[in-house]
Amino acid sequence: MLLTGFGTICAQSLSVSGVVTDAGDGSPIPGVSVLIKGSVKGTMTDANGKYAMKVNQGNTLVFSFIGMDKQEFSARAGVLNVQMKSDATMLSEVVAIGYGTSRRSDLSGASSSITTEKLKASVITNIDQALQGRAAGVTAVYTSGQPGSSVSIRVRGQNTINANAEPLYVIDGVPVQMIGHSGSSFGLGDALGNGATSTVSPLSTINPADIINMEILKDASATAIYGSQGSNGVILITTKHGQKGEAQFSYEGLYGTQRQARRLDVLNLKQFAEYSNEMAAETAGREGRVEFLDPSLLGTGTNWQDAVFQLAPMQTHTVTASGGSDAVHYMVSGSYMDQAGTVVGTTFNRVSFRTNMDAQLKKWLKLGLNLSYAKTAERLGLADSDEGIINTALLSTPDVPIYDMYGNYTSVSRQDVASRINPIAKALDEDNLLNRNKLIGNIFLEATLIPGMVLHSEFATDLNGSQAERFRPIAKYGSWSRTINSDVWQFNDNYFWQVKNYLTYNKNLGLNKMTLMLGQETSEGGWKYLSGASTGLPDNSIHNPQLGSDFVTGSGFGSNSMVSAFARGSWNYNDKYFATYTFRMDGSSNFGPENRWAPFHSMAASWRLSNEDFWSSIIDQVSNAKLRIGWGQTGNQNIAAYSWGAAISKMETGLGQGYRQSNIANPYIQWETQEQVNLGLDLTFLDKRFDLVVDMYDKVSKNMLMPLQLPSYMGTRGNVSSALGAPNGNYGTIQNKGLEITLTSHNYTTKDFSWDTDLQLSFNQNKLVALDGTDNAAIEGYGQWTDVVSRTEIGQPLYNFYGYVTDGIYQDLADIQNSPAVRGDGKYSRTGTVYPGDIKFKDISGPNGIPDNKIDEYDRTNIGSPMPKVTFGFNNSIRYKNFDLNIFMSGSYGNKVYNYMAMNLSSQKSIWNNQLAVVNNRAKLEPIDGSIVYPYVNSTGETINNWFDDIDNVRVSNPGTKTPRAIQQDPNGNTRISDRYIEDGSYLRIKNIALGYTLPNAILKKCHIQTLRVYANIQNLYTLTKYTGFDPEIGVSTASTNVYGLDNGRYPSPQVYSFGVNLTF
Amino acid sequence: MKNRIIKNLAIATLMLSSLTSCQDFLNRPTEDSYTIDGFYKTDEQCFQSVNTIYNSPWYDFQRGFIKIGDVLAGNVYYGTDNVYQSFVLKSNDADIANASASLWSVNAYCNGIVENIDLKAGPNVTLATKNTVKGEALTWKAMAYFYLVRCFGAVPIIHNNAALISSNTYNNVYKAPESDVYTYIVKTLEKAIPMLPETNAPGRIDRYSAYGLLAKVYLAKSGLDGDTIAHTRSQADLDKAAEYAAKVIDESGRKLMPVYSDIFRLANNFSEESLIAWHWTVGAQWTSQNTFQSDLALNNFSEFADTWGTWVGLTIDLEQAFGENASSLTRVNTDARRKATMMMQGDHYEYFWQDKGGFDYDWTKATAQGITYGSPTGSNLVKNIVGDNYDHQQGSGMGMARMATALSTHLLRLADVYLIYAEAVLGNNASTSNSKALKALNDVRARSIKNYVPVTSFNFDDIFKERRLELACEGDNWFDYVRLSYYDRAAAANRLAAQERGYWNNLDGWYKGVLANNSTVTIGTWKVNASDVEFRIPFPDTDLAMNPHLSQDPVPFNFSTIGY
Repeated sequence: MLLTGFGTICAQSLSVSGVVTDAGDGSPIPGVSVLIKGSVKGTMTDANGKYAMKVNQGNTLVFSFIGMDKQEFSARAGVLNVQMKSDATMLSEVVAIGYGTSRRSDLSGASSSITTEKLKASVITNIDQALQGRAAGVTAVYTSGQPGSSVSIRVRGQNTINANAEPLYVIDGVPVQMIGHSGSSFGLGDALGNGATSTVSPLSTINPADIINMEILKDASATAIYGSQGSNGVILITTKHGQKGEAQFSYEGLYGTQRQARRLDVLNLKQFAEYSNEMAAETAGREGRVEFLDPSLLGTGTNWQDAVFQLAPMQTHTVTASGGSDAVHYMVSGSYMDQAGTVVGTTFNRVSFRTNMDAQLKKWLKLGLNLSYAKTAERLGLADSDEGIINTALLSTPDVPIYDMYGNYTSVSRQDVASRINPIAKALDEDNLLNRNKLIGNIFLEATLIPGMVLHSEFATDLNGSQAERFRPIAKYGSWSRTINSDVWQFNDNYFWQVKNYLTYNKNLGLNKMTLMLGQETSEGGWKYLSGASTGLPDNSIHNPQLGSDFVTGSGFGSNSMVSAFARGSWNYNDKYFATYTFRMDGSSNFGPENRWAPFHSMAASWRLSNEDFWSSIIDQVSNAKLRIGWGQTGNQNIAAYSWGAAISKMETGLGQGYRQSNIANPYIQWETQEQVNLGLDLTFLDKRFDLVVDMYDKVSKNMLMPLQLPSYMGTRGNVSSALGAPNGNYGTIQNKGLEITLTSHNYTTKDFSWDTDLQLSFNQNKLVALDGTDNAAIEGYGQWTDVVSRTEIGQPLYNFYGYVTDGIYQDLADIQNSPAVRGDGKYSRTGTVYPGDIKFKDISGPNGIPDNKIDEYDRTNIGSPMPKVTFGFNNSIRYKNFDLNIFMSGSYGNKVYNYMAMNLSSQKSIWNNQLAVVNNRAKLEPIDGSIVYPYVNSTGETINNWFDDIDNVRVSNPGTKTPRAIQQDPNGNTRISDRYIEDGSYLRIKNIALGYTLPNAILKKCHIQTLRVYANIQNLYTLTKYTGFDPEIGVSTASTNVYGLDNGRYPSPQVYSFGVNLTF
Repeated sequence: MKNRIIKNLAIATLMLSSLTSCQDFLNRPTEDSYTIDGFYKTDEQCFQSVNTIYNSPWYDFQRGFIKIGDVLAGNVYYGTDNVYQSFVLKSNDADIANASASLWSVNAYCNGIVENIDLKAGPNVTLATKNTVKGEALTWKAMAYFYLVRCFGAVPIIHNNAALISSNTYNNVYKAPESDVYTYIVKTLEKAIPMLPETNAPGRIDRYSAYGLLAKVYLAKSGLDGDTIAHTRSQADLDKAAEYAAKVIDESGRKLMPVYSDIFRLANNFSEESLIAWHWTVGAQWTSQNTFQSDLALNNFSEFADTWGTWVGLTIDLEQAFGENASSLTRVNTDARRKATMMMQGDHYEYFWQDKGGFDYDWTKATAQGITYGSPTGSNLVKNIVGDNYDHQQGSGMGMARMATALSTHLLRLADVYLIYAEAVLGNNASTSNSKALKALNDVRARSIKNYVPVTSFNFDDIFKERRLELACEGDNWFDYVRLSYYDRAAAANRLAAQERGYWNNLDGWYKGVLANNSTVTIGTWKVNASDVEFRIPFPDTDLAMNPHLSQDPVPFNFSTIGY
């Protein structure tokens, strides 16, 4: 201190000042640090990029700014204007790590950044949407195209069977609570499907415009500091903060229109009439419909797809004010977003505010406050289900109009009886409403105790409230009616708080630089709900359950808590060798006294080859080369509370109240632990033109938390409301191995023109290594109800589709007789047994594991994996003078999709369902010998009335077809789960094209505007895919767990055409 | 300066070491409900624990209940292409999977109750309560196994779920032979009977409920010896069946309800006639309710748009068994059970739609009633149906809800026990005129048949048909065929093959007055092949995949492991 004081007194004779500008566009850069080399003395540029300071003769000034190349100049009196160039290698960038920050160059672990520029290139309404194709190792799949809906994010593959395989999101240090987001947990019952996940996103309550950076921690050495919460990866989100200077206002606005570009080829009225007539003739016992006697007179009829899809507007507006004095910096933003869905009846809107402040209370003490509040309102529809609006619309026949002559909704009727609710009426009249409030924020103190030692004490909270309503009106749609309405409300209240204290100590000892961190954290979360439901409200106008009869209430509450201690040590020797060790100990209330505490360790090291002397000969070609290696452990504690014991739950009965054991207890349940090894290489080469980051990883999740998979005789299957809960426990091992490549290329850079390219490639291989139970233990996933569609077997990737393998179409009796036996005793009937025109299935196996020449359930096998072999993102940024163009493509390769929707849409079981046009090419029968006169007595003495009932005399007239014959009730099971519905889900999507124009400074200055950029954006313009459904991007099922890539009418992602303005003044 | 640093360091240390009293903070059992350690402390809590076996775990069996019990039996018509009607059942059938899940969950819950009462019951719980509760649970367990063995044949015996899980052997179990399953059921009921009181609270299982069930089990078991070629039944088992049935008839003090249709009304959920029943309610918890009405009632029968049974008819064969002809507009109505089982054109029901003056099953009134008619056999179900919301309120004091009524489902009725007695006494004889057996049969018939003249002897055909007329649409009739198949498979199959399972042509036009006469109203005949009939339902395929032993031959069960 004394020495410093002395220096202060006797030096600083020169005054230097100037403006720091961006070499790219000449704009001034505020917040550039100007330091005297070798000291901590210096200043920062103000809002106009200006600085002024006193220096000593002989000093060297160092100008540095995040993302820019550091520059050094010898100090001299007078004006020193500096142009900063963007740092192509990003080595000096300071990035967020768990409980701290680090220079990117010091990192030994694997992490990727998504910067604000990349965020802005896409039209995103939820932060998780920004992750698609932007970071190697991250698979992001939109669960639905519904506004505000969730994206399933998998960091380095699926690591767990848990419903929640999503990463941990940490916003400015506050872990976002991914509170149960199934429809039923909000109180919407099965209105959003029966799965553990729904399309509602916990992240849609956060305004992405406030975000400046997202850092994705991927390997265990990076995530281990989050211990028991880190195994699905961690996404650290940094929001904007103010800089010193006069207030700066910015406005970001966007207006767009969304549409569904694709239509499935279903039968129109004329085709449907022809099909119905032929069906009546081809299948037994049904009469043709008189109105279809002459199909040539008919038009196209109702296009139900056009009716349920709409052009949907969206708009977002964000206003930000930021600035600050020497001591206080602030950023305040407010935003409004309103988005209609492309399926009628769905909307989302959000109002949010954010305040980020920091104040230097004393030289050694800093106070910070980050606070954000959001309110969202959604009107939700069910898409992905047999009962969903997409399926309902597709199956609705074109002969039914949407409205009757009085303008009322019709119903899809069968002999004057409603067989299916009008999809438009269902979407518009049945309310599924969800309103949410979220307050998330933290307040912290940072005390510099001694130089280099900082204590950070923080209180963080995340408060969530929701109100859901399900209203079913009194309605009469044609012959469909509901004469008693019902209304259900549910209020949810969730709280979370966390106190953490950590001490960071930075010490430089010559060439050794060390950082030590030691911390403690305590958190508690809890939930409460109250619901009320009634039926028979007087009319549909006032939605208050109190007005109805049979009022039923529900309520419940619970909580969980965690206590942790953690430590990290990092060491840097001469910027050549780096090492980090991390330790965390967690205690969680989710586990019983037997296994409550768990330790997690990780280690990582790296070596910057390019800083070695021997590298100097090629330093011009390869300016940076770094090898990284890491190992670590993380955990997962995402299970229901109190799985270690058996709770009692209530069940009303006709004998009065009942109480019963809810589940089978497992007192020994413990953490899911994951071990991961990571090997990485960073290269910058060819005159800094290319940046290459390659990572390889191998991670094994052990003691996987999941309900034990039990056969039904254990009593744990069936309706979740009636079956005994299977014990939760640690029952399996999953391995993910992969390779990630990120290549950034600065193809061309001049003053007027630049072109940069980013390419991300992620390869992941996933395998279920072990599962408790016998060798035959497997994890099943179901389609709509109890139909097994996926089966994860030991040694196989997760969620393989499981079913029969098709082998063409039976051509005639001989073909049936020469093929593996189906059912029966050699007697065939057109309506009751297998018949020519049915699908032939392959004999894969039998009860003894070898083919038995019979088609039965043993012949089901793996029919494809929904997991992509590669996912990729490819981004091009082109700038010409004031124009900027961004073209972003993303996609996946090698994954299969189960087109579940096509099962009903091509089943040909009922003429009351519309069908895909492929049924026109179904197997059709013809007599082999047309000369036989019927009725006819065959060799066994049976009288046969028609040629088509005479199996000896029929054959398929179009032998090449793959679509089976039309027959009511499908006696051969042509619609069973089989590879008939497996399709290639690979796709390449032009995700975004954004063209922007930044108005020249000269014009703007006159209007006192700092920057003004206008842009147009097209999202999802084109998708190259072989998939025949709406959208190959399917993701996790909202109908059942353990199913991935099953399309049962998933809400397709829309095309978005938008226009936006970014304005700063 | 230095002091400040030291002070700050002290604060930091304090804060870092302020790890709370962790064990208390982290110990959080379920907070908003009991745990098994905190429950079973009073008599009432013990009874509440077994109350739940009277409804919820059975919920998933509801749809399969009618399809197995009455569609296979040829009483209920779901369409000639329905897999139950045409005997093309596959192991991936959803209703089978649900039925299986339901029956096994009943077994698991009952095992748990017995274990929890033994281990957790508090000192204030009386022995009488412990016994009654365990007796009820064991009787329900026997009931579940009785359905299992008659549906699936050989099944595993799961005596203690917790033990199988902790020993990690749950995927290694084998099926036990059918005879062992019957032995297990008998042992379970013999264990339950002394624990149960002679009379219990209304609606609950008592000792005579268990006797009645045991009689029925013995009657079924009597023909089972692994040989399905026609042979005689075990006289010892028949005697046991008669003995236990007689106990119920003579000692229980229970009487048949005077009016047959009253048995199935909501107000009589706890009637004397009912020995074992599911007792549903309209509650907030899904699976607490009866949903039969949704599957079986005419579309728009209630106000909730939750019925879709218009096309579910009664078979022409059952119509004929009651002496009715749907192509005629007049009814013979000699047997009151007909109208209480099936609605036919022209019927008036004073107990349905009481707020509207009763319900007329009249296809010409479709528009006025808002009802959809369309049964291909000209009849619809009456049993398991409550009516509209007003009827529900009249019967139970509370309203119904979407897919929810509180109507009890009677699984074992006194009349059934009367007929069991008659059949057991008849036994292997061609016919009998045993007076007590005759009385049992005549009592059942006299209740329902107009101007009844008692019979003086009866044979197997008489009793077999009587059981069908008495118990049709109660989910039971199929098991009479299963029982017969145990000792004469061909006879059982031929009876089914002889049934008319088809539909009427042009009935719609005739009933609605579009046709001038019924000359074109003809039977579209449809029958099953005797060779297609299977008396065992396939095991759900999920289980076959998980445990390959289920596809192998049964292994005799070691009864020394169960302790009774």
